[in-house]
Amino acid sequence: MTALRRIYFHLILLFLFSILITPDISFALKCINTKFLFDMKPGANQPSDLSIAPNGDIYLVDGVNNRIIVLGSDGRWKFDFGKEGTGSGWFKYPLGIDISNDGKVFIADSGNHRIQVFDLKGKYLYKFNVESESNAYGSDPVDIIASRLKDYLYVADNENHNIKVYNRKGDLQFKWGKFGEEYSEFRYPGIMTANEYNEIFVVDVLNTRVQKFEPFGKFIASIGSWGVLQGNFFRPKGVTLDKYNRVFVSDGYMGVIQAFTDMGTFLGVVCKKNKKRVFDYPVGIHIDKNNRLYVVEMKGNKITVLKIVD
Amino acid sequence: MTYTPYKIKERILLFSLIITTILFTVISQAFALEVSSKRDCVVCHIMWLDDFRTDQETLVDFQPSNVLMKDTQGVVSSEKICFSCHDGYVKDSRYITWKYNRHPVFVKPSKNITVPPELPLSVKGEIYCGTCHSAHGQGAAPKGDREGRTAVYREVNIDSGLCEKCHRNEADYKRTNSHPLHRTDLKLPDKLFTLGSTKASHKNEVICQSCHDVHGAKGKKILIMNNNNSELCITCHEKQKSLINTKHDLRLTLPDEKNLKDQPLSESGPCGACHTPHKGATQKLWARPFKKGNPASELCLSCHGDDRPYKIKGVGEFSHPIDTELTTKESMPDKLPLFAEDGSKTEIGRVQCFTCHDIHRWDPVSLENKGGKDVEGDASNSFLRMTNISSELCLECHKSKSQLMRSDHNLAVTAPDEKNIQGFKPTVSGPCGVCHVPHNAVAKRLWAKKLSGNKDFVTQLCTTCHNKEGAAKNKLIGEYYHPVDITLDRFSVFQVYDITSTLPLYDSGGNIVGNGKLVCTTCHEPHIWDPNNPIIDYEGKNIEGDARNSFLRKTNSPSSDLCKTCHRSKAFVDGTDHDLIITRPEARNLLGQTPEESGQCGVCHLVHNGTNNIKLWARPYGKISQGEGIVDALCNSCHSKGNPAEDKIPQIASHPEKRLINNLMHNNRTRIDYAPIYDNITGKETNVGNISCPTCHNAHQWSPLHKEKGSYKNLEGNATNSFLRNVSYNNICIDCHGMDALFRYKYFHDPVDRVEPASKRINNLNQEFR
Repeated sequence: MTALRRIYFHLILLFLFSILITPDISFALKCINTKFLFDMKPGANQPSDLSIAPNGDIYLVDGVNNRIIVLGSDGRWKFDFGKEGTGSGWFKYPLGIDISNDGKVFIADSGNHRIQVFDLKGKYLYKFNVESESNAYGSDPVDIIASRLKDYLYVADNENHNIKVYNRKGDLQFKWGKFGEEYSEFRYPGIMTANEYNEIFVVDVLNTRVQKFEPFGKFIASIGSWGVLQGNFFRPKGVTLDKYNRVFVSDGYMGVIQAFTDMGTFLGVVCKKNKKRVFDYPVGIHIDKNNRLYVVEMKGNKITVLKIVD
Repeated sequence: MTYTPYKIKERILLFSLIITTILFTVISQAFALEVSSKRDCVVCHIMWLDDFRTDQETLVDFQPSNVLMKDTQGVVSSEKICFSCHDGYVKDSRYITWKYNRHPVFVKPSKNITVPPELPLSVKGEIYCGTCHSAHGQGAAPKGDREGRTAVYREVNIDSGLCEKCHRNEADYKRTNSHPLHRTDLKLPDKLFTLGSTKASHKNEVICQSCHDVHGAKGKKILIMNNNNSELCITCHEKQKSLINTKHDLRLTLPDEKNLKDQPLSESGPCGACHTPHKGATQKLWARPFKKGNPASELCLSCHGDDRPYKIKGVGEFSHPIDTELTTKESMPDKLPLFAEDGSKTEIGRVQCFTCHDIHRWDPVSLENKGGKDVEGDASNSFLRMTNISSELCLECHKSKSQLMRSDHNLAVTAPDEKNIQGFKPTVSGPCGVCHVPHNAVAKRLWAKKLSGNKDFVTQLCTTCHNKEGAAKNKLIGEYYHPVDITLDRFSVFQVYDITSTLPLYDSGGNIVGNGKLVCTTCHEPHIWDPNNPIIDYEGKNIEGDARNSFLRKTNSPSSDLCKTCHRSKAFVDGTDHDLIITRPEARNLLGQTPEESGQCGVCHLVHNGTNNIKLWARPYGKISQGEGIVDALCNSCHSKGNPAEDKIPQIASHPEKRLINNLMHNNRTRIDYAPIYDNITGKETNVGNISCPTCHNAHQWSPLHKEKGSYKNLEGNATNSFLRNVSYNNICIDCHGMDALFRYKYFHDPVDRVEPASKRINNLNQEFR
């Protein structure tokens, strides 16, 4: 009898514990409200990503037109650089961009399987190739992070399903990841971002999640899950962090941006007056120090700038 | 060992717990597998997500309607689903699928398209992504192998086979006059593939994707590149590029023109003005109105025909014949194409517009020379296949006329300032072009000069230059010349002339007919100076000709073959004493020509520029004595002192003047007793008059009994020959002199013997016999 009671007791404990760990299943839309500031239509064709220079200028990847468009912080056109080709300073359908603190512009020149580096005026500095594990396909660098840690350059190789880390000279330092659905595995890694601790957040597109890693590639957490409900992703594309270390993830297909804690707890959907704000295929996103959310709308061929209110 | 009830219950509970745990583990793993499998499907089939079947609000709307007509799939092939992977973050198709033009989707197939059942349409009957694509199709291959060509096709697409499943009209290109497919006879340039063309299984094989790119087309109509200026066409058809900026570039000359498909030039481009790659009006992908006929000409005439709606540069009433078969091997051109009835090039075929013209190239020599909108063409350009500045092109077929270049009729040499109706000098028009223009000629024979006068048509052609003010004013025919513009009917009645002679006769319109008129070109072939000996070294202009050349159709010396073609009864003068080439080769006629230069006939008769009216006499009239007529003067011109026949002067030649003779019974040329009587003054034949030399003598035949040439010896004659007209017993003399005339006959020119009585003559003869 004592044993039976013990079993009952354990079952009750198990039940109570399960209640404790069950996520919030409230059906109401959780919103993070934003305010529309302005948008920019610089004549891009299916732009993919952007980065903000220390002076506030916006660098937009207009990959289909094989150029980088530089806009003022107010959206005014400044200049562009690059053209189609394989030569130095030329692009073939680039996708990703990051600007280092020292004012270097790093471009993931996807079609040319390489990284190209420019100064803020668009002057070509140097380039290096991204190695491929497969001779058949070649590498496919789709995004890059210029980390403060050891000046590492984190490159997402979409086709080879891994993250490659280079030094500034272009020497491969280490890499992690392979094709798969487990943690630290990828199915088409895409846009990345890093937090103040140099931890790396990688959008894992077809695994419909964002994976968080330590700077040297150790898995920390998985953010988001598969589906079309709040907190789910169907085609996650862009990721960025705000000053509260909230992780914002854009979903191209669903046209929404959602926020999570950096450990994956769903916080809310980017809204406008408590109603979800729908974008025209949001891809690269960025939050500046003024808590302005820049959204690259690939189908809309524009950048929308919002003020995060909540 | 014993078991208490509690222990039994406890064990049962523990066993149940273990079983439950195992079951839970198995079920959860199965569920996990199902989820994983489901997720792979739902990557595309989003509407299969269970999330849509809960009460919770979803971040995207649920659209349960099927895309397919058959109820087999949920929403999958929406463009947005495709793009969600092909945006660069799984596969980068932005630049091929969404930057440029692509196959129309979400539209209903046109009437010309027949979509087979295996390629499904949407519930709305529209073409959608899934019409061609399916992850489960036969053509699905992860990276696009060589057999399937590319990934996720419903059907394999070897050499555009998938395209042809719907575009059957285009595939049946021969029937629909569309661009040929699957042919390998033209070299496809490498440039085409760098522009985005898809290579076929066989080298140089033309497939739909040679020109079209279903996704990523940079030009309209999903062409691999913009073709508004026919850039794509001329990538392969490079030779035809030379059309651009010529008059046939309708953007310059007819900017408002539209082709059969109602496309303006800004859309069709210069090539598309006349050609359309699909569903042409006829062969050559023709994009303009077309009448029945040989395409190798009718295509041109669709614009240039005088009866067509586009009268831009009509060929005129008088234009070079087309659709003409060349019958002789000699007339077959070496460098110009001939065409079969279907318009294809052939070795033995017909002359069409395309024979002379390459309508894509203004200047056959220079690609840089485009002519231009307002430039009037000449023999060096005008879209000719080869330059015609020396009439090379004309002579490709008209080889027999090539001698003209080395003759006085080459006006580039003899009259370089002469202009044709177009105002072109011979150096511009080419030697042929001075007199003939292939289009918009003044008259028949493509005449290129103004006609005047009231003579027959062909004579007018000659007198265009051969008149007192013309280019050939120094080469006129004079006051007395061989009759022209006459029919030979009256002669045919007497069967003297064979009107089916080898020389041409002409009707009033200039056509060669059997019973036509005799005109200049009956005897002259204006393109050939010497009928027997082509001139190799043309010495220069204004050669003085003679009976051996002078553009005569037949040589007329030493034997007067040309004259004899008509004047057959005079042919027997050959080899007689009247053939001065034999008997008096040093003699000269009025023009100073020796018999060899003038020919046998020309010794006595001048066809042109004679000074004597009667018989176009080529010698000074001889003196005549009392009783002789003007006709006798002709004979006396030789048979008199100091003249070629001074050793053959009859002592007496005249008939008593007042004894007029009626020859009504002897005025029939066909009869053996023909004995013409001539008017003494006019020299014309008359029925009542006096006897003159030709009454008894036929100067062109030695023996009346033998219609044959002479013996080429200087013979002494007798009463049976001596150029006598006849020896019959019913000659004209018998009418007055009775049978006695037969004996006096021989002694007519003897002043003594001719007056002896017949009895005395008989006695004398008897004595001779004894």
